[in-house]
Amino acid sequence: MVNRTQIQARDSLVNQDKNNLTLSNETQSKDGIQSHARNLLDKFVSSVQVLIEDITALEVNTMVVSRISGTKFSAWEAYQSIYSIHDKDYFEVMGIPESPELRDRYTSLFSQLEREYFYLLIEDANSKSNVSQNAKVKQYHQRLHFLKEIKRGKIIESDPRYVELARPILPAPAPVIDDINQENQTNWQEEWEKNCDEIQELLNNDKFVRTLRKIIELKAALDGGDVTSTKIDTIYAQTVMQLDGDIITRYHKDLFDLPEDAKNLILQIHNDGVVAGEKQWRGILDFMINLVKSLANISPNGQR
Amino acid sequence: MVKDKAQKKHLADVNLGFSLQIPQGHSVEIKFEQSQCNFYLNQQVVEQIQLAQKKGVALEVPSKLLIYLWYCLCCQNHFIPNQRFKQRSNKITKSFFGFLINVLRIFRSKHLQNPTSLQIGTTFNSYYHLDKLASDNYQEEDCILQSVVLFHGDVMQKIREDFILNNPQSALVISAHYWLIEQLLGSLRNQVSLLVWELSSLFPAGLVVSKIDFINNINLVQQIFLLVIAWLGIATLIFVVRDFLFRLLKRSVAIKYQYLNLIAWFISCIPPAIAMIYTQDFQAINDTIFLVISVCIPLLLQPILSFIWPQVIKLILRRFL
Repeated sequence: MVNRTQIQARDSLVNQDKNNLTLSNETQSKDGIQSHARNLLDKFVSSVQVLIEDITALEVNTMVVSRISGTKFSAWEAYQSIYSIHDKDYFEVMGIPESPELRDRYTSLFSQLEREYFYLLIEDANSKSNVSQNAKVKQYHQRLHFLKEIKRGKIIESDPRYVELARPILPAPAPVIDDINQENQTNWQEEWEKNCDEIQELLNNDKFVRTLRKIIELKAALDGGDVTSTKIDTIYAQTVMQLDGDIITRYHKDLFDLPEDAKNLILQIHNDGVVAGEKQWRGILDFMINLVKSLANISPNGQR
Repeated sequence: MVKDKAQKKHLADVNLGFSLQIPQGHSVEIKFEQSQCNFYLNQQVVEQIQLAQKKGVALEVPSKLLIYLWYCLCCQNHFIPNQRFKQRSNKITKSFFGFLINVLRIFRSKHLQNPTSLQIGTTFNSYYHLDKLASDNYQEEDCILQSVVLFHGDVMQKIREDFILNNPQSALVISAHYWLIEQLLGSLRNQVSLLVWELSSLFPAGLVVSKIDFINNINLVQQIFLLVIAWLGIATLIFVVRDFLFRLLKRSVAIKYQYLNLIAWFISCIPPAIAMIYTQDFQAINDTIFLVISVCIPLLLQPILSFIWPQVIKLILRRFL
């Protein structure tokens, strides 16, 4: 089913692409609202294209949580909250219990986001070279190297060379002031503004925001209802439907420790959730693909 | 980064509330807060939904909501609140008109700080309370279910722990939640039919008006003016009556709402027909034919309009693009 949708989408996208090519030549001279609307639709179409290309599987998770927050997703706030995990005082300030496993999971969320950023940088580096970006890529590579050394026990984590490299490559969402009384105080403002612009660019990147969205959901699960307790929200069941037709369902081992009633209920909820989730997702995707199709038909060269 | 004044504008947040009529039951409150959709459920509503589910009756999703749903699925903008310059006042619009303005502003959004892009996901929340409450009175603890659908193929169904442990009805509520989402998203395939009934009402109204005789001592312009006023007045009346009947029928009869629409229309056509028969120059054959035609108008108008609307949109877009 997933396959069919994708093929459909590709067909219509290919058509749309052809239209775009011819169109962009014609309308180059026009400006104002026209070109803006054009850009908007182009952006929409290319977003759908990227979206369809990135679909590899449908994953349905059923979580039993202690609290559901109704606040809407804000990319900026999510970015700030993930970035702050890297702060050395984060766990103390938030009162996160001293369980190495839990803390590791938090830190891994940060590294996940950083890795995504790194991939974006490499992708970018192929098209245009930028001094600060190259420096970041280099830093990341060297850090990976040092991490290997640490694992082997050759150097320790507090090695000044490593500390220097461990600085996050992600742009900071808040002003970084090393020493308030230093003379480069005017510098930080400039730096921060540059960072803000870079973050803004990141937040306009669909791929990055998608990763961010997923990570913030995982963080909410780690937080559970109460940040200060070790209790986390459990993903009791997960079903992954691969494009090639494989369907894998995984259950958390805690599920089988639950009372029989609750266990059956969760299993039933998950089964319903998989069916409903597939419908929900396909409904939306169908809608978008149809929209792109009708956009292709609307454009002057699009009459078939 | 932002130098000139015009660029500081943002899209206003749109919070819209709708109430959807469950076939043969009460209405369920639905609220949209930008990309989040909240259902407000109570025991009664859940039972009615279950009934509708069993009978296989679909939910009627009005065009207004449909258009808004389109907007929700397509548009978002992620911006950094511009605290470097000035604290931004967060505008929230709660009217449908404000929302339409928003849509227009997207197309002119060179004035906006950031480009609008495709949404990455959407969230459906269900609030449940045993008794009926106004949607504003639901607390955050009442939010018991959340479906997060990320478009690249990630669906998360979250269920409150204490809810499934303590509430014997939980399975029903959950299936009602899934059903509502399915109905909403299923309606995306429907075509938006705008103005069908408004335009249809013009026909029987026109027939009635054509039978009106004016006293001779007013001039032609005045006569035409009065006729037009009478025409529009009667058309509005027919339309309002039809709408009222439709709502009434929806509450009591469980059949597809397309048929309900037609039934309501037929009934609301009866008074004009009777009025016509009692006018002086009633010609049995001719007028009966006209009456039958005017009653069947919506059936004709629907396909015609669903053909014309895309053409109109096409024309507008081509003007701009």
